[in-house]
Amino acid sequence: MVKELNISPVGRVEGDLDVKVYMENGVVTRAHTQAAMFRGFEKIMEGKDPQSGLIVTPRICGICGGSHLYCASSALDTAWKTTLPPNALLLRAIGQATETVQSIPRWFYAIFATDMANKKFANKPLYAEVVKRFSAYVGTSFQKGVTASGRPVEVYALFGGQWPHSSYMVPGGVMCAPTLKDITRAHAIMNFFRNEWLESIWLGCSVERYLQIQTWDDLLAWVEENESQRNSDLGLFIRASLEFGMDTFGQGVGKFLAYGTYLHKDLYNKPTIEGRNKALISSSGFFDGEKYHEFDHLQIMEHVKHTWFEDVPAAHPWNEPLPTPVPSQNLEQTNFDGKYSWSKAPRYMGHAAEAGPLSRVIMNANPANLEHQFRDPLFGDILKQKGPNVFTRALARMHEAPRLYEMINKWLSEIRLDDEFYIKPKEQDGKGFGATEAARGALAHWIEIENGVIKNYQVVAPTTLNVGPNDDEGKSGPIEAALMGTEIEDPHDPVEVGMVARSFDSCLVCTVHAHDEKTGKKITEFKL
Amino acid sequence: MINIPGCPAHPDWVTQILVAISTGRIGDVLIDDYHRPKTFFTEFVQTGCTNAVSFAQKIDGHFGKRGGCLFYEVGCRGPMTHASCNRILWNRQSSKTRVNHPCLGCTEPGFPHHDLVKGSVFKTMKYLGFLPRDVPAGNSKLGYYLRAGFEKTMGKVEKIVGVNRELYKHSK
Repeated sequence: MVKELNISPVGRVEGDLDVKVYMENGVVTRAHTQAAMFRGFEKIMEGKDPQSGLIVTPRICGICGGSHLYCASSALDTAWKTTLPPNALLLRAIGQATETVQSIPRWFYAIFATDMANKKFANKPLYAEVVKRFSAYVGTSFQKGVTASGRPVEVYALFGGQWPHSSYMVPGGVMCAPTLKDITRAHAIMNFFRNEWLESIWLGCSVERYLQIQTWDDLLAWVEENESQRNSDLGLFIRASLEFGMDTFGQGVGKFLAYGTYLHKDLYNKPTIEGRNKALISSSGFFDGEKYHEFDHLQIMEHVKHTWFEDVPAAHPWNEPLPTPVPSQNLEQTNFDGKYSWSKAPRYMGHAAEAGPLSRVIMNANPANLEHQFRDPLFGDILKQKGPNVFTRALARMHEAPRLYEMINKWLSEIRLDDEFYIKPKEQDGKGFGATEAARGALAHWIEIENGVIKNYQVVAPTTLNVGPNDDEGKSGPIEAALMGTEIEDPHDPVEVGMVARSFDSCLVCTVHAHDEKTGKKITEFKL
Repeated sequence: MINIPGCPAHPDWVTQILVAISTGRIGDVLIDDYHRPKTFFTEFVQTGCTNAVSFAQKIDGHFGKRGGCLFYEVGCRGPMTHASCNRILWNRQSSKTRVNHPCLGCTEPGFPHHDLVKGSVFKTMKYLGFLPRDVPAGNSKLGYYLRAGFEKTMGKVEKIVGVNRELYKHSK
């Protein structure tokens, strides 16, 4: 029997993402993602001051504003050929890392883990403990984790003034010139975060012990090493995920894209697009399922055949026009053979590729990584042993917290208070490219400045990469692909669909619409 | 109707008004012409700014430099933006102007100001290259130019006669 399922919205925070799935005998046979809101941020900046992106783009997202700022300032650095002092690169990296660490417990407790308390898993032995800890609002870890997530961005505020929506990263450096007391307070806040959540609740061991883990077997051994680790939230999450079968669905396209981030303080003082890959601390790349390819931003093309924009040939962001919207339809009236989303469909070397922490940690496992780059084999091994799925995607996101904690402290200690924080650049026309890894994946901005104003500005967000619709050749986007084949136990409560979508941490609220494939009849509609 | 402005609004602005309502204090929530609660939007961002002394003494601030006021060169709107950012702080720690970040005026109508035209972002828009187009609230333009001109001249004189006002020269 064939059924259709509409899920709207999939996320829990903001924006609008609708998912329409068709089911046959309880298995998803077709899936479409619909970004239901026109944003128009690129259009806003047309003809404006070249620095407008520093103010406008952080406001694209209330949780990734610092990441947009990292891109906007970097795009201007390459266009204006600035010089960046080491202190500025450190303070930008600290801003990016604190924002990402903020997102980790917030996403886990507020967005993701509450699904593990769904009645679908009620017959599993670990269910009672999961409900006790991870239930929305009332779980014993829920409030603690969400509260702890506010700490890292206190450090962001020490250097950026506030989080979210600071513009403290500017071409040529940063606005701030911190004093000793800012650095010491930042160390103290991070220490508090470690004591309050990271080691005490999440790991059940020291950051140093956790970072010794090199392989999947190491990780399983770590879980069983002692009661503290076994009963930590991470220990419980791993044991419950395997027991609940969260490692068995949501595979996706099996191709991974990361732009990398954290430009090294001494290796990017003369910012160029060509010099970027080697200056990254968290490496960039494209992994096609078998081998690694060096990242080249010119390989990105955006398709709009299924987007509510006027048709133009697939093009690199520098070469595409600012989008011209066409009339959209609500979900019921949408014809999925035609245009059906406000999101474009970006492709890398012609492939739909998944963006996110899993992509990042796969790049971190690249044996070709340089001495100054993260060299962490764990997720190379996990990908081989377990493949991509809901569990590995979530594990990858959580895996970053201890390492970033360590890096934030390291970068704080490298700031030289007597040295420069900003070198005033000379404004000029030209093209620029800035990129980073937002908490939820690869993010990039492209700018073209002509006659001293913005001629073209293009943003490709990780959510664009992941929730994008079919491309010109009819190939599915990553979330659409990841939903295919998912088994739905209860079509009136398709928690599996939500878990797949949320494992990508798409920054759009999402609604599920379930339909019967043969009759087209709607079975259920609800917000997740 | 109560309007809570800001991009973003400070969480306290939202929650404390809700607390006021839930504790029976709606009568104390006074609102201004834009329906903003006066308790948060009567004073200016400049109130509590750690660079307020530099504003009074007309000492310029710049990116990457300790001390100095951001109003003169990099477009800070702290003196004409109603908000309590420097009194209640953000993320319990700081505020834009405390870290050398010009106030963008996001609680006032017209944000982003000057419609982001060329030369308006992180630059003070001026007449004749030295007279700020927007002057601090509560001043006539002419009155402000005269007072500021006097302060600026006095500052130069005092510097020449050796009154050291560079607070951060020997500190970090």
